[in-house]
Amino acid sequence: MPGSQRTESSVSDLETAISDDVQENVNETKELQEPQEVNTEVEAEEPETEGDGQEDGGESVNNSKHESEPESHDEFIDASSVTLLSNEAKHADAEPELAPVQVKEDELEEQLPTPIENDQYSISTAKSVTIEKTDSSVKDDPQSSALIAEAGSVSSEDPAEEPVAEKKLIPPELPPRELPEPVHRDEEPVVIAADDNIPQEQNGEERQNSDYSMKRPVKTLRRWFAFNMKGSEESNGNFNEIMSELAGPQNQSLAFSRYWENVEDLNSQSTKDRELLSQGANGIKRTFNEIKTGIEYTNDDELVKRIDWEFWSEVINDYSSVLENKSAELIDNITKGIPRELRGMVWQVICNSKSMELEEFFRANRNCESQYQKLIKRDLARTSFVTNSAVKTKIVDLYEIIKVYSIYDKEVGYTQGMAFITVPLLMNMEASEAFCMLVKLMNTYDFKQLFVPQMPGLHLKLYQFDRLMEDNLPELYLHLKREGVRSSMYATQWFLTVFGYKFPLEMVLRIYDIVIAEGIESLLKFAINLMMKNQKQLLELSFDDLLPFLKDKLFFYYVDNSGDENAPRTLTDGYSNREISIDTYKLEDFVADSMAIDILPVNLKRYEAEFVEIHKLEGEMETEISQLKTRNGQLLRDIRNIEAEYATLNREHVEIANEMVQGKMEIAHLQDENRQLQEQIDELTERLRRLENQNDTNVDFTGEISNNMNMEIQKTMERNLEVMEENRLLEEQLALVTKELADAKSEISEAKGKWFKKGGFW
Amino acid sequence: MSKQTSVKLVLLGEAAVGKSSLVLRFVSNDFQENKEPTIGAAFLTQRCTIGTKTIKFEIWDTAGQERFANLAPLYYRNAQAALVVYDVTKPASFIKARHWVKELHEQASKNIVIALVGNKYDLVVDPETGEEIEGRRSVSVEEGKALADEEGLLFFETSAKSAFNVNEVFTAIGKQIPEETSKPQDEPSSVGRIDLNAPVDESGGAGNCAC
Repeated sequence: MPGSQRTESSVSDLETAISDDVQENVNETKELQEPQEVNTEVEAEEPETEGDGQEDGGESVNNSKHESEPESHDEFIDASSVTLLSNEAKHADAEPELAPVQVKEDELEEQLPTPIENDQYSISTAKSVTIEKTDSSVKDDPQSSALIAEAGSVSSEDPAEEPVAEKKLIPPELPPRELPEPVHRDEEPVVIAADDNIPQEQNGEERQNSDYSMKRPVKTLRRWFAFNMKGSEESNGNFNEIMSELAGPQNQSLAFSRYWENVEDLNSQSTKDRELLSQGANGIKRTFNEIKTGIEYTNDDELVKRIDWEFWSEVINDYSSVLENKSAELIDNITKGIPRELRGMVWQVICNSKSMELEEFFRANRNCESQYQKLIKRDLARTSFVTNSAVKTKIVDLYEIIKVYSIYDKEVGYTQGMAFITVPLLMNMEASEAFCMLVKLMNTYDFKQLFVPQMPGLHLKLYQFDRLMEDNLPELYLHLKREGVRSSMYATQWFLTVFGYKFPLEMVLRIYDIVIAEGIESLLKFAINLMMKNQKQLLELSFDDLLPFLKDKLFFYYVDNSGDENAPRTLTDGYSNREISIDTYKLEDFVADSMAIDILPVNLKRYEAEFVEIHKLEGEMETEISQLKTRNGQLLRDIRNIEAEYATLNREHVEIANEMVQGKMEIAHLQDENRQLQEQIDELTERLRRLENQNDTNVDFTGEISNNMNMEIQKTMERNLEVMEENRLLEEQLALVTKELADAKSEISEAKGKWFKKGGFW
Repeated sequence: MSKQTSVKLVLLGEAAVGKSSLVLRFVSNDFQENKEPTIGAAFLTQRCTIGTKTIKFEIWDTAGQERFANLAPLYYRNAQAALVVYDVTKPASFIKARHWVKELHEQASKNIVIALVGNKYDLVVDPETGEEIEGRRSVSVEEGKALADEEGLLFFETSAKSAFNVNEVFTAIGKQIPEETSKPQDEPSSVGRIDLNAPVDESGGAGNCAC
């Protein structure tokens, strides 16, 4: 509330009332479950106050009306990003963040007569933001995305339905029942006088609101933090109880959260193991106390003055009470760096890692073979983080720790990057202790999730990083998103190597101090800080320049320009191995700035719950996809079978068609033949008929013939008679001649006889 | 003004075969002995002009360790080109390359251009004469070629150290990237569609080599 009054001058009582309203409903911003209850203007605005929408809403408003005051926008972002507080967990703190949006909104209403073009712009901006949101912030929340979709559709309808000038002013998320209000206001020229109307309406809304303001936040909270609640479904649970649970230190401070998890881990171990661990811790305490006593007797002034012996003594001897009673001082001191002389001891005490049993395991296995040893050796030899650092002399120890770990934890074995985790440990303690602590970090500090196959921890960290960006640096988040730069492209190594892949060892040690006290989640502080400090530059870059910048130049922000201008400005780059000198960097500022960023465990848990949900949905989707693929395969096979059948049928069809054609041709042929035959028949019939006719006339012919023949016969017979007569005549002649002849002969013979008697002898 | 297309390219292969070194040679024309193992993946870009078109390679250099293989699909999912790298002196790396080729064919986009690259060629030749020394190599050129022919891959033997054939690999890939498919900005239409003619297209596509 005070925040809003400070930011804007024209804040009336009315707005104060509204701010109250906002405050009460902050808790519901993320999941606005019952859109039909969203009656008030203030509530309607809530989707805007969620996550990035918050700043975006502000931005769109700025675009339309407040171009003249960018600084208020900046200020706004700064305020929210320096203190990464969850709105819902800390009411009071959430207020200043919300107020500016609210105030601007109200101002808008007062100045209704706005150029139309501007209004149009405001709506389009807001709409595009809404779209962005549907695919980013609420991907795992079907209800709220549905709500946003609904809101989006409402907003797209608005200009068509209503007088343009009026509608523009309402953020796109406004539900349609807002409509009567602008219409109502439309009637009067909107000037300050219109103020009279607004208070009444809004007071009414407020009243309405208070009816369920106690119930709904509780319900929403339960749904929201279901992962953190025991009996989640008792209706009307005590709001304050839940709030106080959420406000508990384990949800509000990474250090507490880390400590409690360590304690829980300790409690889950067997009595024997616990004893061994406490023996280990006691050993360290003894060593420390001996050193401390020894220091008092030496005259090393520098050593005595530089280190706050009393404080660190308390830390080592009773970490839990220091955390509980002097947590601010503790974090402050750790931020300034644990003195390197005590670092190893403090680390081990905080995470309670030293275990006789594990040390024994290490000693027993340090000469054993591991399937990974070749790869480990090769990687150590080519990892400049190792070869360039003081740990080079301990490279055999380093190799053995990693090798023994690969034997100890079969699930992880060896993953490239583990050397980065181990080097800082080995720098500060004995090899066997470093091994214990590696085991501890892996198992209790969840480093293991980064290194097991599939690397679920890495994906979770990247998701949490994305969400923190989205909620706290929305402008940058959207810029990177638009440019297609995803966190997996540049932030993977930050988490897998505790920044060791790019940053020098001294820096990694300082980061390690924080990680030991606050857990792996604290890496997000450094990550977010780097992004925040470079936001301005990053916003100006496009895809091509973004990646190299994100990879190599983020830390340039902390280059100390006060000294030598020619100082090398490149950090060790995986691709160039160029050396850097740590003295040229403002290491203290870097750690302090990063620690100034407050990341609440409760928020991270919520992100984690989202992540788990998304992961689950993705898993389901993948199963579905694989099922669909199988089904698709089956269907493809079916299709192929059917196609084969079809081909066969086709072939058969063609054959049949051919046969049919042939048949048809045959039919035609036969028809032809038939026709010919028919013709023949006709002809023959005709002929027959003619012949039959001829037969009738044949009688005449025969008569004629016989007549002729008779005549012929008669003629012949007549001739015959003539020939016979002739013949008789000839025969008579012949007979006559013959007789004459005989007469002649007898005359001759008589003549001859006489001639004989006359001539002689007789 | 020539056409500029961007090509998403991913490098795959066993640990320590020289993936990052190939990229370093291509992008910076530089070489380092004992290159750092890649953690996760590195991203680099490089422009190069092939004929009239300018190609911007967006290179994902993945970590080679088996463990990181699970992350590889993130990188090759929308890749239009892949370099599957092995070490000509390490037979195991060639077996791994075979696996990668298989996985790419099964999981990556259909018309991905894959180059099989046998790196560390410098180790098998005499630096003075440039002739191969007997007994140095463990994977013969024929084996590499055979795999490439079998699977329809480009094939090169390279040396990141001597720069031998490195640019050639990228140029060959650039030539083979079909112009229209070089910007597949998530076309949901074609992804969701059941491609009944897929096998036909594939065989047709393999023949349509642009070089």
